[in-house]
Amino acid sequence: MYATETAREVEKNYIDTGLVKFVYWDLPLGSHGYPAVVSAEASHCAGEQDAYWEMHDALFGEWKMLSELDPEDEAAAVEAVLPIGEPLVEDGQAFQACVETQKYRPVVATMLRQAMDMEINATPAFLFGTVSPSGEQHVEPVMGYVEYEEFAKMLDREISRAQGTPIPDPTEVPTPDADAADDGGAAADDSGDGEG
Amino acid sequence: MRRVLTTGMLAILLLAPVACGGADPEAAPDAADLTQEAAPDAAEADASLVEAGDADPAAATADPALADGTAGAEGADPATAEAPTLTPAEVELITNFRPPSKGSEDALVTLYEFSDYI
Repeated sequence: MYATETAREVEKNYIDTGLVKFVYWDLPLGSHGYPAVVSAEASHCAGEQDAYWEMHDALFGEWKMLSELDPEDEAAAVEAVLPIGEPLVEDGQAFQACVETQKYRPVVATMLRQAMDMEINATPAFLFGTVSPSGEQHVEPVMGYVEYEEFAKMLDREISRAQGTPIPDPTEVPTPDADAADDGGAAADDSGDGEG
Repeated sequence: MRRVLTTGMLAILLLAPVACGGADPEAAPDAADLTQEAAPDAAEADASLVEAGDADPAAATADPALADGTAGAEGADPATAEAPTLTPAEVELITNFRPPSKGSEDALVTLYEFSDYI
């Protein structure tokens, strides 16, 4: 699973180093039903108390349990999600009220709609967005799970595009280069040993 | 599977908040358009939601038939859609919402992950 494997290496090597900004976009698949919808809503409820990413990670940690719930049973989904979030927030009652009133359903619905408008209807899916020095915008979509080594190559390619430097040949294996550490190549140095 | 999307799609994601659902993803706006996209007003948000409801009844009503809309555009049935009734508070919530993000605002690449928790 991307969130529990590739994502950790991407965060360490690209996000924490300032090379990449990460945006999470809710796309609750229909086949996953209410557990997916309620989880997305609950993540934003936790976000009201500055615990979005903690909840995000906790929910991914419980993906198996969530996947075993009845997709059509909303009450069961709420019952399953509340105990995940309550330890992460200061005001458990406010969190519970937020989840139970479906406060963020219109937000999740809007995100879902926008993803569908872009014909993104499977998970996981990714977009790499860059703006080159000349102002040219580029979006590279990737559908499906990608192991870290390949993901890092894609990110390095997009970083080169954003920097206006030659885009690496995707068939080339990145080699350690001390000089690259300051210009975005550091992550490529780690790409070989961080596969999730 | 990889393919290049239009700059309009990039604009929606990079520069506009969630509330700009009314933006045409097929459009290729110039820089001025992008700036405008970044600051939709409440009316825009409202309109976009109605549109979302029409195309994806489950997304707007949270019906378990979410599958109709989410699993693929082929399942959406506007004829059976219930028009969402949004309160002013909901419109404001959507208008002001920004997708969760982390990392530097000056980062060279913006990476979007589309997923659910299952």
